Amino acid sequence: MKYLTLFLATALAAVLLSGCGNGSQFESPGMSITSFTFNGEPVPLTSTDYRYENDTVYLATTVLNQRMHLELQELVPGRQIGICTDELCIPYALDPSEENAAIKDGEQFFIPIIHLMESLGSTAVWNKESGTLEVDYRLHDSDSFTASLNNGLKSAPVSFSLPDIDGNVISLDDFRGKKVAVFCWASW
Amino acid sequence: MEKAQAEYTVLVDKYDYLGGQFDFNYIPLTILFDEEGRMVQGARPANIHNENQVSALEEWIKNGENSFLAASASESGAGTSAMRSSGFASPEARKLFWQGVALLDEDGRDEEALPVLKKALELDPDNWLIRKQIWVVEHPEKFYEGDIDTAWQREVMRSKK
Repeated sequence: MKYLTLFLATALAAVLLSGCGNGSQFESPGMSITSFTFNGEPVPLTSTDYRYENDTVYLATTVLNQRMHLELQELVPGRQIGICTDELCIPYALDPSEENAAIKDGEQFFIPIIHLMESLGSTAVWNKESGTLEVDYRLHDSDSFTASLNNGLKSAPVSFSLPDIDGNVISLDDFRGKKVAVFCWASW
Repeated sequence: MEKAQAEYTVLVDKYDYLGGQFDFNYIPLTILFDEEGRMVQGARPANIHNENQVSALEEWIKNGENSFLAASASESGAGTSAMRSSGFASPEARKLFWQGVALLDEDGRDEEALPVLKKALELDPDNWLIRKQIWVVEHPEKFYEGDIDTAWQREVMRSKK
């Protein structure tokens, strides 16, 4: 296994796109984002800011950069791009046959937003019936997070979410009321 | 994970999210949280064969904030770790590491990934995530045939001094 694996010891725990009509091949006629909120604040989107394909909502990398300061990087020319924070990058294939691939439309890239948020330990909720997209993006500010660590037991509660081996998203919040020991390990 | 026969909830941190959030560049380690989700102890090396570490952990489970572990963490800072450092030494090291990982993610491109990862390690020589990722590609037999050969790892590091 080449990846890091988090081993969460629970026994110790006492853890729309309104694209109609503009002709893009990636849009599903009739599907639109009627409301987009980012960390509880409404954010207007234009038809160039998103795509909807195969029941998946994609946000443009320009929106990700403006709202979340996420950086687009080319990882493997023509094959993989990365959406990066200061500390990590989430890779996305450009081959549409790959699972969770990004979409390239001209010079613009679109990223599956729910997959991205879950990969970053945050959440995105898409309600297909109402056309609402809610993104709750939590990224610890390094300096304040470090300060909270050094305040010892009085530090603020921490939260993160990651998928298990079956893809089910598990949150540290799910273990509230119990002590949690997180063991981080890898096959190497 | 099947080989480890883990009995507890196992999550997959494919993109090193926790490494970025909790500022560690090595494993194995533990991070402890209390019932309110507050960090009691930040990233610290973990050795399940170390009786003292296991005893301290068991005492914390039993006594919580009245335990020796919690008290010592409170004095020194919950996030203190002798080996702790910020994730990557530079944005360039980070970029190269993730380029290497992207190449490894594709079948048959390990040989292309190695020079990229080695360049990342040159820029970030204290980063054990990069170092071990290189080792496991070049010497899989030291990791996947029987127990991980930690004696070999120590010998490699000694020979570098």
